[in-house]
Amino acid sequence: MLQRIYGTGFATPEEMAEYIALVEEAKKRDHRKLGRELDLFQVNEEAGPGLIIFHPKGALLRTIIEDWEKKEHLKRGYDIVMGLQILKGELWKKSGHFDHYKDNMYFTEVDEQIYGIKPMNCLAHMLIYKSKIRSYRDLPLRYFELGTVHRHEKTGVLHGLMRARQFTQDDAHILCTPDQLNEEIRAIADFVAYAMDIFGFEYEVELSTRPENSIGTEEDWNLATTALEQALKDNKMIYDVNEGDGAFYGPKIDFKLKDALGRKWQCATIQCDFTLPERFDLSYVGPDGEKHRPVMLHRVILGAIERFMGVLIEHYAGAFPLWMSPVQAAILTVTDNHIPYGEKVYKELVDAGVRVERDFRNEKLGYKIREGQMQKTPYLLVIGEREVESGTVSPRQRGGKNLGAVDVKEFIDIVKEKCSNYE
Amino acid sequence: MKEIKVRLPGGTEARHPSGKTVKEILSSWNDGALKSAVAAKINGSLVDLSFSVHEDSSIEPVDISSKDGLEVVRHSISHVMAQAVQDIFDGVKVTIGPSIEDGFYYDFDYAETFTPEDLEKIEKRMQKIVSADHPFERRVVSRDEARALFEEKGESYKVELINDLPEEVKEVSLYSQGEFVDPCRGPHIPSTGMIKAFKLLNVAGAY
Repeated sequence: MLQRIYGTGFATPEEMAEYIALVEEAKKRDHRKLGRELDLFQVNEEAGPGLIIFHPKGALLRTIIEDWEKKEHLKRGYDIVMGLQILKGELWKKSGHFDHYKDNMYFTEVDEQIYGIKPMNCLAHMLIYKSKIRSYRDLPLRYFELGTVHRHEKTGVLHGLMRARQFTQDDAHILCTPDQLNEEIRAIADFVAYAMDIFGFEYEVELSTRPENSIGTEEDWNLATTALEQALKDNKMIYDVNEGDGAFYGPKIDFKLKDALGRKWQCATIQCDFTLPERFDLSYVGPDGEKHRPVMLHRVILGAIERFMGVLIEHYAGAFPLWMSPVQAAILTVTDNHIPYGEKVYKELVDAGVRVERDFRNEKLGYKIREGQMQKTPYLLVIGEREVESGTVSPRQRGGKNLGAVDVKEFIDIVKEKCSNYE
Repeated sequence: MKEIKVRLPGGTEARHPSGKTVKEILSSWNDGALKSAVAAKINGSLVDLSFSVHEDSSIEPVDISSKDGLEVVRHSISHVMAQAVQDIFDGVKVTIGPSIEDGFYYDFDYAETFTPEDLEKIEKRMQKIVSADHPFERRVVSRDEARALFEEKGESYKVELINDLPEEVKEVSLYSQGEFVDPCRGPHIPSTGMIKAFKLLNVAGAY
């Protein structure tokens, strides 16, 4: 039988020791392990490989991220749209996906017609654009969708949340005039920078230019590549150039975030696309009264929500910042006598919108605290005699610091303050 | 005696008799640079330091700590590992051993399963090979000769590899260190003593 022995080698023992320490740390933070321990999600062979089921806490974390997405997109002039999961095979032929992407797609049959299960969100957005005559005054149009796509991957490469067959993109398509390209790209790059800051990541930027196998005129490629590059320069962003690494339909900018272990993950990407507006014959009426072809940008900010969550889990080793933590506080009663007061505190926190859990079990306090620590809950609120008498809570912060006795209202304010700063 | 012109890093140019090795040429330019060089680049392509230069070229050393250098070292370590495995275990056939991101692997065909203790034994043996500072020697033989050599050794995977080479390929380069020989494109480090840090990590599931 064939066996594979893996090894590593470095220029110096010190560098190797550093690397091995990172590998060990990465193992501890494996998102699949933490996903199980923190009860966030499961992948089940019975349901199918590469398909992720979100448990309550995982779904809550995902909801927090998706709510943030919607809020930020609306703020920036995007329209939220909701497309389709399946579309007729004919439409996928028209878009070119059938020819270039068939092997990655799943299909189904409806009324004896082949339907493709979407691997990308573009098509419905095209149909929205085409639903009425557009004028240059309508542009830019920005359609945003938290679109769940399906892409076939070999079972051997599936990897928890990082590589799945079903995942959700924070996808948007922007239709604009050539003049508006620079501003739109700059705005997207700003958005990415902001997102990276909020979630706590450093990142690198890469510009990928025309590959050998590509479609479109020299002119279109120059226009698009220059627009992307100029936008990065205008934003004073440092970037590397990846010659010939663009998509066959257009150049792109890739953002790779760096996690706590120094690993790089692709998240955001901004792509110029020449084919789709052409294939769908999109147009807008210009100031000259004539029909013109709009330019199209595809972009994702976090990339795939599932994958981003996997990265977050490993980056924070499950100790999520307060603002995104599925459980922000846990109330731990010392004995059953303290439960009535514990309930009162619980209700007050829930009403204030704090994500709180109760541990009112008949267990020793030390045990409850240890469990709270293992779950990496940001605040553990111990309720004992002193708290009941003074009508306070004594929050223990994750990491060990005790805040002392504070009013419930005061604790709520602390939580709100931190959350508003994305702490 | 034919002379060749070489361009060295920094723009220096030098003349050398044709047939000199890259190592000799680099040594006369800057001996210090050779201390931690594991290979070299001729006109951008990676070669052994023992490569003989017969034409005008641009030459630069490849340092062990560079991306290319690390890849070469890791590939050489994989050969040393294969050597160690065959020294210790009977009846193991070798297949392929490429370098990968941050490391390398080698696939072996072996009836027993390698245990963590086995890995320790292999590592110890590798350390001996490193200390012995065997040179990596390259020679080019005909395809038929290569096939016959590995057929005789019973290395069926290597024979298959050689048979699968495109028709146009008439010659095969072989690298040996100590008693271990492998059909390989190379390049490799000059000798096993240049390996400064290595570790065996794990055995992947048998398949």
